[in-house]
Amino acid sequence: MPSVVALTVNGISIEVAPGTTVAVAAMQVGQPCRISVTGTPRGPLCGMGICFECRMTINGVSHCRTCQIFCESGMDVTTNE
Amino acid sequence: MSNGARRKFDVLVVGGGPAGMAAAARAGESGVHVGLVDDNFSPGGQIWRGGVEGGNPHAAAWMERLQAAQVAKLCGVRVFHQPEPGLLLAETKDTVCELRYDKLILATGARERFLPFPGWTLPNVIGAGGLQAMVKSGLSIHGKRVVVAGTGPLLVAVAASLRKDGVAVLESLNALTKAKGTRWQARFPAFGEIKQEGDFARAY
Amino acid sequence: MSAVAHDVAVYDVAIVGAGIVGAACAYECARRGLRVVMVDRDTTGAGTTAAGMGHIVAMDDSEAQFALTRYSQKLWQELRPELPEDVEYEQCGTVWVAADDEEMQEVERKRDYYGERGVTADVLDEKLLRTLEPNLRSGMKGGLLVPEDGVLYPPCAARFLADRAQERGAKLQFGVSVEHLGEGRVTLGDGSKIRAEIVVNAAGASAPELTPGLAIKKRKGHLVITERYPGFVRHQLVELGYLKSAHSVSSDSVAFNVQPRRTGQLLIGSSRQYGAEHKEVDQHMLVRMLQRAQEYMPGLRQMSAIRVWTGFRAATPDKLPLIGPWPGDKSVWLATGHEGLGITTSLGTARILVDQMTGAKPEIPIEPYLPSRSAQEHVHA
Repeated sequence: MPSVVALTVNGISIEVAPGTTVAVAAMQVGQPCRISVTGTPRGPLCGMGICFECRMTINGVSHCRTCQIFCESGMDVTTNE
Repeated sequence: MSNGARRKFDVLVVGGGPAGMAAAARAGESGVHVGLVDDNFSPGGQIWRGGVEGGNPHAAAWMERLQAAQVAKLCGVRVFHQPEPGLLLAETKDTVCELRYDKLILATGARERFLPFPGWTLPNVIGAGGLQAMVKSGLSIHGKRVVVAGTGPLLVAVAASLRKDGVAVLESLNALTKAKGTRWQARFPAFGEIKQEGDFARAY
Repeated sequence: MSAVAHDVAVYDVAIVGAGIVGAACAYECARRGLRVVMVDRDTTGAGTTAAGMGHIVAMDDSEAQFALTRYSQKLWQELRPELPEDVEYEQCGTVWVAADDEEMQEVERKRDYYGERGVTADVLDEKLLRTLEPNLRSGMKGGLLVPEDGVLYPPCAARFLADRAQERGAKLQFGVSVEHLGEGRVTLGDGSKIRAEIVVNAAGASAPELTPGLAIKKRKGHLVITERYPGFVRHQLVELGYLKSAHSVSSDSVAFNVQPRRTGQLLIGSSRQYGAEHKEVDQHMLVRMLQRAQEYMPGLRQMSAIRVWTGFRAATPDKLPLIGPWPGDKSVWLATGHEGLGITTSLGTARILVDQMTGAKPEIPIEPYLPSRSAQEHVHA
C-alpha cells in the first residue's frame, strides 16, 4: 500500500493519503468539480453519492461521482463542463 | 453488456449501514445463506463510515458478527434494477451481476434533505452529514473556519465533532424551540452552552 | 371545476385528449372562430406526447405519409419564430445512416424521392459522414442529410398550442376522466356532460376505449436519456433499417435512432413492440435497443444514462392516421392513430381536420386519412 497517491486536478499536482476521495482532492486544491449550465462553479454537497454535484471527468470519462471514488496514482481529473 | 457474477442467496440485504449489517448478521446467525450489498467500499453506511475497521467499537463489533456469520459482503456493488421478482441487477466498476434471492431486506437508509437558500450551490457549502463524510474520506479541516447552520440535532453533533478536530466553529445556528434547546443541552454537555435567541439557538 | 354550464349545447367542437394532436386541433378550431373545449384526464401533453422523441421529419414511407409530414413540417417552420424557448425547437436536420451498399442504394432512392418533391437532401459519402458525425463507428458507407428536419420538446409544444387555443377562447378542462363520447356529447367522470356539434376523439393509444371498433393498437416504445455530452451528436441520426423496423406489423424490433438535445443530453431510441400493455420498462427490449445503438456509436458505451421510460404509439393497420368523420356516429370525428409521427403531423392534422369541419379546401388530399377508408376493400398506397 503506497503511503501517498499522486494525481492531477486541472493540471495541478497533489499528493493525498490512500483512501482519499477525488472530491476531497479537488477541494484541497480549490478546484470546482463542475460548472453548471448557467456557468456557476459547483462542489460536493451530500458527500454520499446521491446529489451528483461532485461530478468530474476522470481519465477522460465524464460525469464521475467523485465523492464515491478513491484517488489512484496518475489520475487525470478535470472539471466537468 | 458483459456478464458478471450470478449469485443466489436465501436472504439478500441491500444497504450495509448499521441496520443492514445487523439484519444480515442476525439472518446469517440463523443459518441461512446471506448476502449484503452496498455500493461503498466497505460496510458501515454513512454514520459508521470508516468505523468498521476499528474506528468505532460498535461498528467493529457488528463487523465481527458479520464475518462470524459468514455473510457474503458485496461491496462496491450498486443495485440499479429489478427485472423480475426474486432478481436484482447490480453494477460494479467493470461489469453487471445478477443477484437472486428468496427474501429481500431493504436497508437503504436515509439522506439529508437540503432546503435551498441563496448561495447554497456555492462550492464549500456542504451538508452537515456531507462534511462528516468528506472528513472521513480524507478532507483536512484542521484550522479551517466553519459556520454550521440549519435545524436539527445532527448539526449539534457535527459542530461538536468539528470542534474536537480543532476547527474554529464560527457560528452554530439552529432553528429550534427553547424546550428542545434545553433537552439538547442536557444531551450534549460537551458542546457547551446553547443560548436561545428568539427562534434560533446559538451554540458556543 | 369549470364555471361553464356543461348541460347546455355551447360548443361547436369538443376535443377529447390534450396531447399534441388534440392541442393542435384546439388551437386550429379556436383560431378559426369555432367554440371549442378540450378535455383530458391529466394535463396537456402528459401521455404519449411526453414520451416521444419530438423529431420533426418528412417521411417517405408512402405518398400519403410524405404529404402529411411535409405539409406539417412546413407549418412547424412557419410557427417557429413564435415558439417559446422551452419548446427547444432546433433545426438540426436528420442524417439517415447507411451501413452497407444496399442501404446506400436506399440513400440514393430517398435523395431522388425527396428531390422530386422539393425537399433538400444531400448524399454523404463515407468521408463526409465522418466529418459531420465523427462519433459514428468507422466503416459506415455514408448517409443522407435532410437539413429541414428538426427536433423539439413535445410536452412544452403541446402546452404552447393549448395556451394559444385558450387565448383565442378555447376552454380547457384538465384532470377529468371521460366515460363516454358520442351522440353529440362527452360524458365526464363526475357524470356531467358536455354537448357539442362535433366530438373529436384525439385520445391516441386510448382512443379505442372511447370509440369501440377503432382499429388502433398500442405500439410500445422505449427511450433513454443520458447525461450531458455536448457536441457528441449533431443531427438526429436514424439507421436506414428503421423503416424495416417501423414496417413490421407483428414482431418486436429495435432500430438505431439518436437525438441531440439542447442541453447536450442524448435521447436514445428506438423500439417497437406489439401486445405489450404494461408501461414498465422491458429489460430485454432495453438491452437490445442499447446494443443496437452501440453498434452504430461505440462511444455510447461510456456514457451515463439517467432515465429510461416507455410510451405507447397509436398504430393503425395501414400506418396512416385517422383524420375526419367516423362512420359509426355522425357527431364523432377522429384525430388519432399517428404511430410515431404524432408530433410532426399534429399541425397538419389539425388543419385538414378543421378544413373538413368548415368546408374549406384542404391543402393536401385527405382521402388517405379518412376513417371511412377502413370500410373499403383496398388500402391506399
